[in-house]
Amino acid sequence: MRANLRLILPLLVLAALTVVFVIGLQGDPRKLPSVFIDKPAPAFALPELAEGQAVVTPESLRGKVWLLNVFASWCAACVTEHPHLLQIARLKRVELVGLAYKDEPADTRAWLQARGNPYDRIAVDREGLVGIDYGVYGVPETFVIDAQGVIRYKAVGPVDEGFFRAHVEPLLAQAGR
Amino acid sequence: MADATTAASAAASALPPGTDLQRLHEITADLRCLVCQNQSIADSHAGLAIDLRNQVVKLMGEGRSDGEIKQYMVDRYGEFVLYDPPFSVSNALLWVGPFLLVVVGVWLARRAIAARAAASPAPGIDAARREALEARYRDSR
Repeated sequence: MRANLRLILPLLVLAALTVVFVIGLQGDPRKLPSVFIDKPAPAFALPELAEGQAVVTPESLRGKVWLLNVFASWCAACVTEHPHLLQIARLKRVELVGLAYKDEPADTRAWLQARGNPYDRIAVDREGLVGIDYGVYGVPETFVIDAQGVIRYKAVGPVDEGFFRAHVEPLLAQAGR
Repeated sequence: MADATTAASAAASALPPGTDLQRLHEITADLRCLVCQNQSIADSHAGLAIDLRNQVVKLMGEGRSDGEIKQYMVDRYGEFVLYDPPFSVSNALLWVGPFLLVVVGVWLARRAIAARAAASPAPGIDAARREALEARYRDSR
Protein backbone atom coordinates (compact mmCIF):
# COMPACT_ATOMS: atom_id res chain seq x y z
CA MET A 1 0.00 0.00 0.00
CA ARG A 2 2.77 2.39 1.00
CA ALA A 3 4.84 1.34 -1.98
CA ASN A 4 1.84 1.93 -4.23
CA LEU A 5 1.42 5.42 -2.90
CA ARG A 6 5.07 6.07 -3.55
CA LEU A 7 4.72 5.00 -7.13
CA ILE A 8 1.72 7.14 -7.92
CA LEU A 9 2.83 10.17 -5.92
CA PRO A 10 4.90 11.64 -8.77
CA LEU A 11 1.93 11.15 -11.07
CA LEU A 12 -0.33 12.96 -8.62
CA VAL A 13 2.15 15.83 -8.38
CA LEU A 14 2.35 15.97 -12.17
CA ALA A 15 -1.44 15.98 -12.41
CA ALA A 16 -1.68 18.80 -9.87
CA LEU A 17 0.93 20.86 -11.73
CA THR A 18 -0.85 20.23 -15.02
CA VAL A 19 -4.08 21.57 -13.55
CA VAL A 20 -2.26 24.65 -12.22
CA PHE A 21 -0.60 25.35 -15.56
CA VAL A 22 -3.73 24.77 -17.61
CA ILE A 23 -5.60 27.24 -15.39
CA GLY A 24 -2.68 29.63 -15.70
CA LEU A 25 -2.80 29.46 -19.48
CA GLN A 26 -6.51 30.30 -19.63
CA GLY A 27 -5.96 33.92 -18.59
CA ASP A 28 -4.99 36.56 -21.10
CA PRO A 29 -1.62 37.90 -19.95
CA ARG A 30 -2.53 41.24 -21.50
CA LYS A 31 -5.37 41.64 -19.01
CA LEU A 32 -3.86 43.12 -15.90
CA PRO A 33 -5.60 43.49 -12.58
CA SER A 34 -6.50 47.14 -12.33
CA VAL A 35 -5.22 49.02 -9.33
CA PHE A 36 -8.26 51.27 -9.54
CA ILE A 37 -10.94 48.86 -8.39
CA ASP A 38 -12.68 50.31 -5.31
CA LYS A 39 -10.68 53.52 -5.62
CA PRO A 40 -12.22 56.92 -6.38
CA ALA A 41 -12.25 57.82 -10.07
CA PRO A 42 -9.34 60.22 -10.70
CA ALA A 43 -10.46 63.79 -11.29
CA PHE A 44 -10.16 65.40 -14.69
CA ALA A 45 -11.64 68.32 -16.58
CA LEU A 46 -11.73 67.81 -20.32
CA PRO A 47 -13.48 69.66 -23.14
CA GLU A 48 -16.64 68.17 -24.60
CA LEU A 49 -16.42 66.93 -28.16
CA ALA A 50 -19.55 68.90 -29.02
CA GLU A 51 -18.60 72.53 -29.18
CA GLY A 52 -20.14 74.96 -26.73
CA GLN A 53 -20.68 72.31 -24.05
CA ALA A 54 -19.35 72.48 -20.51
CA VAL A 55 -16.18 70.59 -19.63
CA VAL A 56 -16.63 66.99 -18.55
CA THR A 57 -15.67 66.17 -14.95
CA PRO A 58 -16.31 63.05 -12.85
CA GLU A 59 -17.49 65.40 -10.10
CA SER A 60 -20.46 66.48 -12.21
CA LEU A 61 -21.59 62.84 -12.41
CA ARG A 62 -21.79 62.28 -8.65
CA GLY A 63 -24.92 60.50 -7.58
CA LYS A 64 -25.21 58.57 -10.82
CA VAL A 65 -23.89 55.21 -11.86
CA TRP A 66 -21.88 55.92 -14.99
CA LEU A 67 -19.60 54.27 -17.49
CA LEU A 68 -16.38 55.74 -18.79
CA ASN A 69 -15.65 54.13 -22.14
CA VAL A 70 -12.19 54.82 -23.55
CA PHE A 71 -12.38 54.73 -27.34
CA ALA A 72 -10.82 56.15 -30.48
CA SER A 73 -11.53 56.27 -34.18
CA TRP A 74 -8.22 54.47 -34.82
CA CYS A 75 -9.16 51.59 -32.52
CA ALA A 76 -10.18 48.43 -34.36
CA ALA A 77 -11.66 46.62 -31.36
CA CYS A 78 -13.87 49.64 -30.66
CA VAL A 79 -15.85 48.74 -33.76
CA THR A 80 -16.52 45.32 -32.24
CA GLU A 81 -17.94 46.69 -29.02
CA HIS A 82 -19.83 49.57 -30.61
CA PRO A 83 -23.16 47.74 -31.11
CA HIS A 84 -23.12 46.74 -27.43
CA LEU A 85 -22.59 50.35 -26.41
CA LEU A 86 -25.49 51.43 -28.60
CA GLN A 87 -27.58 48.80 -26.88
CA ILE A 88 -26.58 50.08 -23.44
CA ALA A 89 -27.44 53.61 -24.59
CA ARG A 90 -30.91 52.49 -25.67
CA LEU A 91 -31.60 51.17 -22.16
CA LYS A 92 -31.12 54.71 -20.81
CA ARG A 93 -30.26 53.36 -17.40
CA VAL A 94 -26.73 54.69 -16.99
CA GLU A 95 -24.84 57.75 -18.06
CA LEU A 96 -22.44 56.66 -20.80
CA VAL A 97 -19.41 58.89 -21.02
CA GLY A 98 -16.90 58.47 -23.83
CA LEU A 99 -13.24 59.32 -23.50
CA ALA A 100 -11.93 60.05 -26.98
CA TYR A 101 -8.39 58.85 -26.39
CA LYS A 102 -5.53 60.32 -28.45
CA ASP A 103 -7.81 61.06 -31.33
CA GLU A 104 -8.40 64.03 -33.60
CA PRO A 105 -11.82 65.50 -32.76
CA ALA A 106 -12.68 65.60 -36.46
CA ASP A 107 -11.89 61.87 -36.78
CA THR A 108 -13.91 61.07 -33.66
CA ARG A 109 -16.89 62.99 -35.03
CA ALA A 110 -16.73 61.26 -38.40
CA TRP A 111 -16.41 57.85 -36.74
CA LEU A 112 -19.49 58.47 -34.57
CA GLN A 113 -21.42 59.93 -37.48
CA ALA A 114 -20.90 56.73 -39.44
CA ARG A 115 -21.75 54.33 -36.63
CA GLY A 116 -24.13 56.19 -34.34
CA ASN A 117 -23.30 57.96 -31.10
CA PRO A 118 -24.04 55.97 -27.95
CA TYR A 119 -22.53 58.55 -25.58
CA ASP A 120 -24.31 61.04 -23.37
CA ARG A 121 -21.11 63.02 -23.09
CA ILE A 122 -17.73 62.77 -24.75
CA ALA A 123 -14.53 64.04 -23.13
CA VAL A 124 -11.67 64.81 -25.51
CA ASP A 125 -8.32 63.50 -24.26
CA ARG A 126 -6.07 64.38 -27.17
CA GLU A 127 -2.77 63.94 -25.37
CA GLY A 128 -3.87 60.78 -23.56
CA LEU A 129 -2.92 62.27 -20.20
CA VAL A 130 -6.23 61.42 -18.54
CA GLY A 131 -5.75 57.95 -20.02
CA ILE A 132 -2.48 57.69 -18.09
CA ASP A 133 -4.21 58.84 -14.90
CA TYR A 134 -6.71 56.03 -15.40
CA GLY A 135 -4.00 53.47 -16.15
CA VAL A 136 -5.31 52.93 -19.67
CA TYR A 137 -3.02 50.68 -21.70
CA GLY A 138 -5.28 49.13 -24.31
CA VAL A 139 -8.25 50.73 -25.99
CA PRO A 140 -11.12 50.06 -25.59
CA GLU A 141 -11.41 50.03 -21.83
CA THR A 142 -14.58 50.61 -19.84
CA PHE A 143 -14.76 51.76 -16.23
CA VAL A 144 -17.91 51.23 -14.18
CA ILE A 145 -18.24 54.00 -11.60
CA ASP A 146 -20.82 54.03 -8.85
CA ALA A 147 -22.90 56.89 -7.44
CA GLN A 148 -20.20 57.67 -4.89
CA GLY A 149 -17.64 58.17 -7.66
CA VAL A 150 -15.81 54.91 -6.91
CA ILE A 151 -14.54 52.69 -9.73
CA ARG A 152 -16.16 49.30 -9.25
CA TYR A 153 -15.08 47.43 -12.36
CA LYS A 154 -12.86 47.84 -15.36
CA ALA A 155 -13.24 45.97 -18.62
CA VAL A 156 -10.14 45.79 -20.81
CA GLY A 157 -10.94 45.14 -24.44
CA PRO A 158 -14.37 45.26 -26.04
CA VAL A 159 -17.39 44.90 -23.80
CA ASP A 160 -19.70 42.08 -24.79
CA GLU A 161 -23.33 41.11 -24.58
CA GLY A 162 -23.18 40.09 -20.92
CA PHE A 163 -21.21 43.07 -19.66
CA PHE A 164 -24.14 45.26 -18.64
CA ARG A 165 -25.98 42.56 -16.75
CA ALA A 166 -22.88 41.25 -15.00
CA HIS A 167 -21.17 44.46 -13.99
CA VAL A 168 -23.59 47.37 -14.19
CA GLU A 169 -27.00 46.03 -13.17
CA PRO A 170 -25.89 44.98 -9.66
CA LEU A 171 -24.77 48.57 -9.01
CA LEU A 172 -28.05 49.94 -10.30
CA ALA A 173 -29.91 47.57 -8.01
CA GLN A 174 -27.77 48.78 -5.11
CA ALA A 175 -28.52 52.39 -5.97
CA GLY A 176 -32.21 51.47 -6.05
CA ARG A 177 -32.90 52.40 -9.65
CA MET B 1 24.96 53.98 -20.83
CA ALA B 2 22.25 55.52 -22.93
CA ASP B 3 23.50 54.05 -26.17
CA ALA B 4 22.35 55.07 -29.61
CA THR B 5 19.94 52.15 -29.95
CA THR B 6 17.65 53.13 -27.11
CA ALA B 7 14.46 54.81 -28.09
CA ALA B 8 14.95 57.26 -25.23
CA SER B 9 17.94 58.85 -26.85
CA ALA B 10 16.42 58.53 -30.31
CA ALA B 11 13.67 60.82 -29.10
CA ALA B 12 16.17 63.05 -27.33
CA SER B 13 15.73 65.84 -29.86
CA ALA B 14 12.18 66.33 -28.57
CA LEU B 15 13.27 66.54 -24.93
CA PRO B 16 13.58 69.80 -23.04
CA PRO B 17 17.20 70.99 -22.85
CA GLY B 18 19.07 69.91 -19.78
CA THR B 19 17.22 66.62 -19.41
CA ASP B 20 19.40 64.05 -17.68
CA LEU B 21 19.36 61.32 -20.35
CA GLN B 22 21.29 58.88 -18.22
CA ARG B 23 18.73 59.16 -15.43
CA LEU B 24 15.81 59.03 -17.86
CA HIS B 25 17.20 55.83 -19.29
CA GLU B 26 17.76 54.28 -15.88
CA ILE B 27 14.20 54.99 -14.75
CA THR B 28 12.49 53.92 -17.95
CA ALA B 29 14.59 50.77 -18.33
CA ASP B 30 13.01 49.53 -15.11
CA LEU B 31 9.46 50.21 -16.31
CA ARG B 32 7.63 47.62 -18.35
CA CYS B 33 5.82 48.69 -21.49
CA LEU B 34 2.16 47.79 -21.00
CA VAL B 35 1.43 47.32 -24.68
CA CYS B 36 4.48 45.24 -25.59
CA GLN B 37 5.05 43.43 -22.35
CA ASN B 38 8.52 42.10 -23.05
CA GLN B 39 10.02 45.51 -23.60
CA SER B 40 10.83 48.28 -21.19
CA ILE B 41 9.53 51.78 -21.68
CA ALA B 42 13.10 52.77 -22.57
CA ASP B 43 13.18 50.33 -25.51
CA SER B 44 9.65 50.53 -26.84
CA HIS B 45 8.37 52.68 -29.65
CA ALA B 46 4.72 52.00 -28.81
CA GLY B 47 2.58 55.12 -28.48
CA LEU B 48 1.84 54.54 -24.80
CA ALA B 49 5.51 53.92 -24.02
CA ILE B 50 6.42 57.23 -25.63
CA ASP B 51 3.69 58.99 -23.63
CA LEU B 52 4.91 57.44 -20.40
CA ARG B 53 8.50 58.36 -21.20
CA ASN B 54 7.39 61.95 -21.73
CA GLN B 55 5.58 61.76 -18.42
CA VAL B 56 8.80 60.61 -16.73
CA VAL B 57 10.62 63.58 -18.31
CA LYS B 58 7.92 65.90 -17.00
CA LEU B 59 8.10 64.46 -13.49
CA MET B 60 11.89 64.69 -13.56
CA GLY B 61 11.51 68.34 -14.53
CA GLU B 62 9.28 68.83 -11.51
CA GLY B 63 12.11 67.57 -9.33
CA ARG B 64 10.52 64.28 -8.31
CA SER B 65 12.76 61.50 -7.03
CA ASP B 66 13.19 58.16 -8.84
CA GLY B 67 11.07 56.51 -6.16
CA GLU B 68 8.27 59.03 -6.57
CA ILE B 69 8.29 58.60 -10.34
CA LYS B 70 8.09 54.83 -10.05
CA GLN B 71 5.32 55.17 -7.47
CA TYR B 72 3.45 57.40 -9.94
CA MET B 73 3.51 54.55 -12.46
CA VAL B 74 2.62 51.89 -9.87
CA ASP B 75 -0.35 53.99 -8.72
CA ARG B 76 -1.71 53.86 -12.28
CA TYR B 77 -0.60 50.55 -13.69
CA GLY B 78 0.11 48.40 -10.65
CA GLU B 79 3.33 46.70 -9.59
CA PHE B 80 3.31 44.93 -12.92
CA VAL B 81 5.06 47.95 -14.50
CA LEU B 82 8.13 47.40 -12.35
CA TYR B 83 10.69 44.94 -13.64
CA ASP B 84 12.02 44.65 -10.11
CA PRO B 85 8.96 44.75 -7.85
CA PRO B 86 9.57 45.24 -4.14
CA PHE B 87 9.07 42.35 -1.74
CA SER B 88 5.50 42.30 -0.43
CA VAL B 89 3.02 39.91 1.13
CA SER B 90 1.34 39.22 -2.22
CA ASN B 91 4.56 38.26 -4.00
CA ALA B 92 6.40 36.76 -1.03
CA LEU B 93 5.84 33.23 -2.33
CA LEU B 94 7.51 34.10 -5.63
CA TRP B 95 10.60 35.44 -3.89
CA VAL B 96 10.83 32.81 -1.16
CA GLY B 97 9.28 29.83 -2.98
CA PRO B 98 12.42 28.52 -4.74
CA PHE B 99 14.45 28.58 -1.52
CA LEU B 100 11.59 26.92 0.30
CA LEU B 101 11.51 24.17 -2.33
CA VAL B 102 15.27 23.58 -1.96
CA VAL B 103 14.95 23.31 1.82
CA VAL B 104 12.00 20.92 1.57
CA GLY B 105 13.83 18.87 -1.09
CA VAL B 106 16.98 18.54 1.01
CA TRP B 107 14.91 17.58 4.02
CA LEU B 108 12.99 14.90 2.05
CA ALA B 109 16.19 13.53 0.52
CA ARG B 110 17.94 13.27 3.88
CA ARG B 111 14.93 11.56 5.37
CA ALA B 112 14.79 9.04 2.53
CA ILE B 113 18.51 8.31 2.74
CA ALA B 114 18.34 7.86 6.50
CA ALA B 115 15.35 5.53 6.19
CA ARG B 116 17.09 3.41 3.58
CA ALA B 117 20.27 3.19 5.65
CA ALA B 118 18.30 2.08 8.69
CA ALA B 119 16.30 -0.52 6.76
CA SER B 120 19.23 -2.27 5.14
CA PRO B 121 22.59 -2.16 6.86
CA ALA B 122 25.49 -2.51 4.44
CA PRO B 123 25.45 -6.16 3.44
CA GLY B 124 28.53 -7.95 4.68
CA ILE B 125 30.14 -10.62 2.54
CA ASP B 126 31.90 -13.60 3.93
CA ALA B 127 35.26 -14.84 2.70
CA ALA B 128 33.91 -18.03 1.07
CA ARG B 129 31.34 -16.14 -1.00
CA ARG B 130 33.94 -13.57 -2.00
CA GLU B 131 36.26 -16.33 -3.15
CA ALA B 132 33.47 -17.96 -5.16
CA LEU B 133 32.53 -14.70 -6.86
CA GLU B 134 36.12 -13.87 -7.73
CA ALA B 135 36.64 -17.33 -9.17
CA ARG B 136 33.57 -16.91 -11.34
CA TYR B 137 34.85 -13.54 -12.51
CA ARG B 138 38.21 -14.99 -13.48
CA ASP B 139 36.56 -17.85 -15.36
CA SER B 140 34.35 -15.56 -17.35
CA ARG B 141 37.33 -13.73 -18.87
